[in-house]
Amino acid sequence: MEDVVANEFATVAVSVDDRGNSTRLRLEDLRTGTVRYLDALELESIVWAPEAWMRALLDPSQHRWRDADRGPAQESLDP
Amino acid sequence: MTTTDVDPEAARLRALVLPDRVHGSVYTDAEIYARELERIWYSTWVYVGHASEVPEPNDYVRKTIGPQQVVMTRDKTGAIHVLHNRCSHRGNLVCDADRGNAGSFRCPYHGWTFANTGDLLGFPFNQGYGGSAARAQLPGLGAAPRVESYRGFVFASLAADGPTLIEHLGAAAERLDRLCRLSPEGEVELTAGWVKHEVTANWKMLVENETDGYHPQFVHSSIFSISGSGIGALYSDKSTAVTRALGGGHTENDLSPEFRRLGVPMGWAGTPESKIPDYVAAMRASYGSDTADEIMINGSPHVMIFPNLFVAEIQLFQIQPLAVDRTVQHVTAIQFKGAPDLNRRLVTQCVGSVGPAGMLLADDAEMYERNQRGVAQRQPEWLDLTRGLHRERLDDDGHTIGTATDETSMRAMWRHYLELMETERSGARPSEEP
Ligand code: FES
Ligand SMILES: [Fe+2]
Repeated sequence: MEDVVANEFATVAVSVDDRGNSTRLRLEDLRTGTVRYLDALELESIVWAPEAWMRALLDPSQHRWRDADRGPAQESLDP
Repeated sequence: MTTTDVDPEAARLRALVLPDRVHGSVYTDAEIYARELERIWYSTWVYVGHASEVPEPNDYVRKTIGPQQVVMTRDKTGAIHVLHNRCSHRGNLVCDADRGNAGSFRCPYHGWTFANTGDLLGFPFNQGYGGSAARAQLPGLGAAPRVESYRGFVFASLAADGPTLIEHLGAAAERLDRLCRLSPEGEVELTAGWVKHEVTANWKMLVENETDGYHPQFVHSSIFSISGSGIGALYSDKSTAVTRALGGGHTENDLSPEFRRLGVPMGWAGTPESKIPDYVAAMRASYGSDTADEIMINGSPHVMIFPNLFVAEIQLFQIQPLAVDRTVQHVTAIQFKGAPDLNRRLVTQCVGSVGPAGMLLADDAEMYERNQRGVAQRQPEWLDLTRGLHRERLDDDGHTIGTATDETSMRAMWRHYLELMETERSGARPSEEP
């Protein structure tokens, strides 16, 4: 079942994917179609991540709007 | 390949494994078993699992290489790894579930965490190691130094060098091709689930039995009679089927001459076309009518790929020694990609033959265990291997063949076995790498 988490800044579809050998969370940035899967241990790590880590993650220059000379913003992980 | 005469164990083995007989102690001697682990199971290519068991990125399954527990993973780039299931901190088992989807594994003992490539990602309270940078100096999970696959069948070798997988498979590779051709999409999938069946018998009893065409009429007569199966007759003196040594210790019972004589598409499976119309149509659409019919007439292989992969037409066995007198057979129904109607029937057939209450596997298991107890008796000391020795010949491909009930396959297995067992172990130690 897919749910959408949205606000005025971002729109992300959330679902539990069971095509793999155990369940994982499927996240889709509906504005770009970019998809990321998170397994249970990754999710648990996010739950426990310090605020400083989350603040760093929200810095747009860390990923999507990263300077080109620092390499790709997201490795291609087409599942 | 070098042999050595200063190795007394090699000399002893040469006296126990002869061209026409083997000594009973090769099934019961713990020292011989220990040497088999080193020279065979931890050196040569061993079948580990199938790519279809880890379909998605970050999928993993627990598998085995003999008594060794390994984890077969597919990383986020799609590459397959075979990792030892042993934490690099204090050796705990890292994975416990039979299968899962995880990009990383966290050891339950102290929390060391590894990527599914084996790399160490981190550990709790890193100041104890002088900070997280220490992870570059600490080992990750051990990995099989060589992993290769053929048509989705993943093999690993714990030796850093040796023949390539395709050299190891030799003529047996074509038998996997023959199997895959039975799928309209040219692929098999091992997705039906596994039965683990343990017997108190030496692993070689199983390997020999898999292509022993002499026993089916006797051991399996009850299942053949109640199921009305014609298989028994294929293993008789009148049969045109052959037992073939494929080289490299690989052997087969080639029943295709009999299937061709029958000349009925899917006759080998005892399944009339009318029961699987979608499959037959898909095959003809993929290969064209003539080729499709030829494939469906010739049927599926019955091949033992040394030392642990046995394809028995519709089911697949993975043989795992646990001790000199304990062996597990991991069994599954083969599924052909793009063939749902056929696959449903194959699962039902396999439940009857090798399921928990299946009769074929139970018959054989009883023989393995009786045989193991039998060879422990003192006299006579030898097992005879002469059946059909006088009528062996070479086929057009130069392979040694015998009739359907001859022991050509066992003699070939033992020849290869002795070659591996007497070989000086050069560069064949498990990887020293982390
Ligand atoms: S043994 Fe695995 S973390 Fe200690
Ligand atoms: Fe049998």
